This record gives sequence, C-alpha cells and structure tokens, in this order.
Amino acid sequence: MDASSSQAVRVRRKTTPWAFQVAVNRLKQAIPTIACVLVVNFFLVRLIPGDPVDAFVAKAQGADQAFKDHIRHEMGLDEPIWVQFGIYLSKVAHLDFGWSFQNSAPVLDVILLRLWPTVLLLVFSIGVSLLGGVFLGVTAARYSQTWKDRTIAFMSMVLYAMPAFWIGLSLIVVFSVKLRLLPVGGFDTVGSGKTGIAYALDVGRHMTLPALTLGLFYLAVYTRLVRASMFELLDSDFVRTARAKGLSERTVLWRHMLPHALLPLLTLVGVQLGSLLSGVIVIETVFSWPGLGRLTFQAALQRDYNVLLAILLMSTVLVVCANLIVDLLSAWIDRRMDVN
Amino acid sequence: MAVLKVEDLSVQFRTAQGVVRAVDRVSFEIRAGETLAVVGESGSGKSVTALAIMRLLPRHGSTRVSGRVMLGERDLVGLADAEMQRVRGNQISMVFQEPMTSLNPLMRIGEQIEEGIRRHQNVSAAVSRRRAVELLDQVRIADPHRRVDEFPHTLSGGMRQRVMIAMALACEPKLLIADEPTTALDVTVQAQILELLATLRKTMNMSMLLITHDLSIVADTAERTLVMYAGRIVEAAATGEILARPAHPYTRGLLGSLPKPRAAGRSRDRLTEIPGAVPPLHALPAGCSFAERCQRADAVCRTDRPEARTVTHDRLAVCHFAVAEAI
Repeated sequence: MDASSSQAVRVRRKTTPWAFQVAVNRLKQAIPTIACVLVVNFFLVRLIPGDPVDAFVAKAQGADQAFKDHIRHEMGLDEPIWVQFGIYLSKVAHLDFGWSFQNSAPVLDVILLRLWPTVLLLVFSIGVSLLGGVFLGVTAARYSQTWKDRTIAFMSMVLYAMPAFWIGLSLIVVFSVKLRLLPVGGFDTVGSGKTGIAYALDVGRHMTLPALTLGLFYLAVYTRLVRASMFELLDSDFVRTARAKGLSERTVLWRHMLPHALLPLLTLVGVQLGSLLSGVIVIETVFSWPGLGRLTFQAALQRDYNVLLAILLMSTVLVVCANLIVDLLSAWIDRRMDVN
Repeated sequence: MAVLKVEDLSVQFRTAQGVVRAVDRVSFEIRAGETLAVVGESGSGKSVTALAIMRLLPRHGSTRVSGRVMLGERDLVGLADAEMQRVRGNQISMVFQEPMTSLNPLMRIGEQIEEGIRRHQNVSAAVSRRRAVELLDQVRIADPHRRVDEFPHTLSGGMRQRVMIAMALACEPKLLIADEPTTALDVTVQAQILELLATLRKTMNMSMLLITHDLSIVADTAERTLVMYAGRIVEAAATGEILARPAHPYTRGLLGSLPKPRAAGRSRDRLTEIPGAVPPLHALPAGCSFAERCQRADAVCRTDRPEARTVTHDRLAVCHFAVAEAI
C-alpha cells in the first residue's frame, strides 16, 4: 500500500464513529420529544368527545347498563385518569400496547397487519416519485428554456395544483370504470387463491392506482423543487469552474449540481414524513386500501384509544428516526454542516 | 508564434434595454510563452472576452458571439460542444476571480483536481491522485497529502485560489486565462499569487492572458498589454511602452489614477481621477465611446468613431489624436 492510499483509508475511517456519535446525540434529544408526545397524546385522545364503550356496544345494537359497566371495567376506563395514565406508561415501557376491543385482537397484531400495505404503498410511490422528480428536475435544467423544460414545468404545476382525492377519483373513472383495466380498490382479488408471482402481480395491479395518485402529487412537488434548485445553480461560480475543466454537461449536472439540489429535497422529505399519515388516510379511503391510514381513521371514529395511541406513538418514533436519517445524509453530502 | 489568435470577436447580449455589444470587434494574439495583460474598468468587456474564448458565456438564446478564435488551425467559436470540452481545461484553462465560490463546496479538493486529469488523460485513479498531490505541492500548499482530502471550506481564500491554479494547470495547458485572479484577495496574498503564476508560467512554458483592472500589477507580469474600454480595445502595446508613453487619453487617465512614489521633500500629489463613468453599453455615443470623459476630445470625437491606428511598430491606439501626440 502506498502512502496516498493509506491516507485515503484513514480519512474514510473517521466517518463511522462520527455518524454514530451524531445518531446517539440525536436519539438522546428525541427522548424528551417522545415523552411529551406520550403525555399529550394520552390526554388528547381522551378529550375527543364520545365514549369508547358506547362506540363498542353500538355494534351490539344496545346493551344494558350492567354490560356497559362490565365493558368499561374490561377496558380499564373505570379507573381514575391518573391511574389509567400510569398503567398506560408502564405497559408502553414493556412494549405492550394493549388490546383493541373493536378488532378483538392485540393492538400490535392489528397494527402489524395494517402496517405493511401502507409501507408498500409509501415506499413504492415515494421511491418512484423521488427518482422521477430528480430525473425530471435535472432534465429541465439540462434543457432550460426549451420546450422540454417548459413541458416539465407546466405538467408539474398542473399535478401540483390538483387535489389528490380528485386525481384518484379521475384515475378510477378512466382506468377502472371506462377502460376496465385496473381494479377499483382493495388490496388483492378476494378469494382468487393466487400465490407467489401471480399474487404479487395481483397486488401490484391493485396498488397501481393508489400509488399513482399519491406518487403523482409527490412527483410534482419533487420535480418543482429539484428544478428550482438546479436553476439557481446553473450560473453559479463552481459550476462554471466545472465546465472550465472540460467536464461533460452530464457530469456537471449530476456530479456537481445535483448534490446541492438534493439538500433541500432531503429536508422536504423529512418534513413530509410527519404529515404522511394524514396523506395516506385520503388515498386509502378512496381506494379501500387496508392500510394504517384507514386504521387510524376507523380507530378515531370508534374511539379505539389503544390503537390510536399506538399508531401515534409509532409515527412519532418513525418521524424521529426518519429525520435522523435525513440529517445524517445531508451532513454526509455537505460536510460544512454541523449536525450537533 | 501565436498560441491563440482572436479576430474580430464580438459578443452581443439581448437585454431588456435592447441589444448590447459587450465586446466589439476585438482582435489580438497571444504568443507562445508570453503574458498578455488585458486592462480595463469593470464593464469594459475584458471578462466577457475571456469567457467567450472559453465558450463559458451563459448559454441562453440571447447571447451571440461572432468572429474567430483560432487555436492553431481550429476556430473555437464554431467548434462542436464535445470538441470544445476537450479543449477546455486541457489546452486552455481558466482561473476565476472568486476563489471563495469557485470551488464546489461538496467535493474534496483532491477530487476536484483529479476529475479534470481523468477527463483529459487516460490514467488510473492512483496516478491522478499522485498528480493531484504533486500539483498541490507545486502551488505551494503545505502538507499536500493531508490537504488533498479536505473540503474547500477548510481553506483560506488564498489557498483556494492556489487550488484553482492547481486545477487549471493539471493538464499542462498551452494557455492559462487568469480573470482577475487576485482581486478578491488580501494585498499580501495578491503578490504571492501573482508571483506563483509567473513562476509556474515560466517553468511550464505556457502563455497567459491576465485580465485585471489594476495597472500596477501589469508592469511586473506582462510582456504586452491591451487596454479595453466599453467593449473595444483602445490601446495595445508592449507593457513598458504603455506605462512610459501612453498613446490613448484613457490609458493616460488610468495611469494618472495610480499612486506614485513620493519624491523627497515634496508633498504627495493628488491623484487625478477620470471624470464621469463608462457609458451604458446599450446607449453608446455615436463617436468615440470615451469622448464624454476625455479632456482632449474635439468635435470630430463626438461624431466619428476612431479606427485603430498604428502609432509605432507593434503599437495600436484607437484615438483620432493618437499618432500626433505619441511622437
């Protein structure tokens, strides 16, 4: 090994403990955040007007007071609120999220069952729209002020302006009702008995429209952001330097300019992750997608406290983790940032 | 022998105020191994000339370049983009005015030097890396082995300009264009950078086009000097000639605005400034562009545009009175 390559190894090795340190620091900062969320959520959920017992017995079409008292005791709602809070905290500390009376199953099972359709939908639509947004934004900058750029700018403006539920309904009308190409909703064809690749394709067919609806909006947002960031860089000094080196336009765009444009994009994605759950509620309702969004909505309607609290806690943890990842990625791209 | 021959180069921008001729039929040549200085105020078209040679002007439809820029047998003005990329950073390099913003802040300086080398020369990563360290050493950056892996924000302005120079010299170009390389730097650092450029130019036997607004740095660095005003060359001569016997009133004005060493026993002379300002390029007067500010101006200056006159051998001045006064 010659001198220069051992130098390179030494510099690269420095990054691992650095990232680890940042992660530890951030998680330490997250503890009070999560504690606050635990407290606020617990009381906020109980402030929603309406009684979980009433919501529960409504399914049984009325019940006498004795039965209602029995249910209330079962749910632990007959205790004073401070006692309920204490019980809740100690259960959460043991990662026990309780029982969902509406679903007659442990909350964790209910959530896990609904989690992965949502994760599938989100990863797919956000992943594709991120890649597409970057590609379209860079293309617009490459062909700035030509018809290609103007088309991209116009289309992303149109998609950005359309509400998601409206895009969704339009897609259903065109592709499901008129053309009969894709299913109206649901996760898979009920009772088809398909397995393996055939099943995956079936789910894919069901996912196309909701993913498109969600993705098109994000695609528009990401395209506009990347395009605007790239345009700001087009005439900047270091880009001129890169061109003065004789680099190809492609290298200038992807290697020199794009990392700068990725920084605001990452920040935006980090912020969006917090509001993602409310975004999927609409989509999942329109397409009857059996995901977390609809579960949240149902749990709120049915006053299913345990499910609601667990989802809120989970999304808090997710947002904290996602923001940590965003911060680390940004700091890795831009070493001038002081993440601590 | 000329390394680069610029013939009738004009650059026009279409702006809201109308078509602006930022560079107007400029012709000059840069000879092998010499330094040619281009001097002028801001807005005189000197940077635009350099960017036009490099074809680095903003690529919007509103820019028009005409004339010829001959590099050997090839005219750079009409060259295909891919061909021009092979020239840039390889045969002609450029160092810019703003070292603070001219380096990519997200890339290690070694990478930024190496990518130019690997673009033009078919070498391995190990070779280009060794070359990057060598170059940093050549521009006198201490501890190049360590610096090569650092990001630009850890370097001072002077250091960054050294890195820019290292980048520009990476492929041993025939011509280096230095566009106000020291304007953004401290005075002490300015001298170091100019000295470094002069030394490197000599050892690498390269030609240099030095663009500056500062006549005082021209004397030590440039063999010949062009003076530009409002997009045109107004005077061209050997540097010594220009400094000793300026033929154009504008050049005289520039020289008059330089502080001179004080003679013993005499109080310092007040600096003479050139009254007025450069006319806006979209509304140039009919006659000589400098007439409004010229003490020597006559009726003819306001109506007729002066043509270039040969004052003596190898000396040009664009002034109606140039010949009469220089001799």
